[in-house]
Amino acid sequence: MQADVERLLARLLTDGGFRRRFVADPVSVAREEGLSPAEAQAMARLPSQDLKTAARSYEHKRASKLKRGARHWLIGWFRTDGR
Amino acid sequence: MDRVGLGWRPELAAGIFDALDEIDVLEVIADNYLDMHRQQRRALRMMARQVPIHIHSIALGLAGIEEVTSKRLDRVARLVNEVEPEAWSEHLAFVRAGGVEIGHLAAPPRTEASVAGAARNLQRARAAVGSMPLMENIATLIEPPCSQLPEAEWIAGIMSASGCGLLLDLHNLHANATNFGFDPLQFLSSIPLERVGCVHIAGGQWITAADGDKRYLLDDHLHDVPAPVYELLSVLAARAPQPLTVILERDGAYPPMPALLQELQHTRAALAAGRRQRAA
Repeated sequence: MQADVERLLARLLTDGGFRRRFVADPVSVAREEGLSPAEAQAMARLPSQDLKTAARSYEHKRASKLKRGARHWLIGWFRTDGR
Repeated sequence: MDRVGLGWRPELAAGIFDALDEIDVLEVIADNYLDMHRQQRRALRMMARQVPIHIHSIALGLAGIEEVTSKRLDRVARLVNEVEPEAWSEHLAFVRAGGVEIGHLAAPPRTEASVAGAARNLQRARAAVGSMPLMENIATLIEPPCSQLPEAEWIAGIMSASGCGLLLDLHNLHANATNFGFDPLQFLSSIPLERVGCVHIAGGQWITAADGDKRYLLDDHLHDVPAPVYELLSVLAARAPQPLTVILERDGAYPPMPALLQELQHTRAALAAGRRQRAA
């Protein structure tokens, strides 16, 4: 089901250990996550290179957001309370 | 009349205010203002009185199968209602699933189920905010597994089912077409261009696979707009009947303001070239 596939993708893009386990045996991991046999086969066709590269990109974006958040980068310009 | 604008970033604020006669519209990232004090949002509202503003939301995840919560929608609704922008927008993406926060935009499987789920979320968004967002096509480095529909057909399906307009990101289109080997012109032929409510342009860079030598075009908003994106903009201007609003997105590695203004001039020239072709 769509929800199961989205949940699996979310885990694959955020959890390195889970991603490594999936790359080693994608069909079994997908089935464990509740995907149908057809969905698990479709997940197994996802190139591991693409998955790893995408995950690296997401990690970078999450780190950038944290860095920007720490600087309160947009707040400062419109601060009206004199700080 | 076509308009050209810029994404509002504090690093660019002084330059933007100095060049407001060359900037027709500004786009503000909603998520950076959701937790701000009312006074600070009021300052944003004052800016909206000076120059048309679009509010661009990132983290609702409206194209996910999970129902977007009222709490998240209410926060965006409060900002939109306080600032009174010309338009607001979100992404054709999911950002969380099963309690896992991805932290950025992700492409869901393009299925009939996700068309229906997105349409449901968009109706909830319209009910909460009072207007339908423009929805943006996203860049992705993975072709969503379990997809049944090509990207253009999936987008057109959501537009048809929900009634939303499109925020057409031409660099996202260029990057996806490059990475997955489809024709961006065919994509433009497959979506209702008359319902493009806004256009994004940006730049990116080539990256190499985490393991291996495969190369990908990454949409990073850190580089100049490449020639193929301007060419797509001209094609769009030649085909679309309505006035277009084009926003240049830049999220870092900021060049001097004159260089950004030059990109805006290049944007106007690309639009004009397309309009001439349309008139011929």
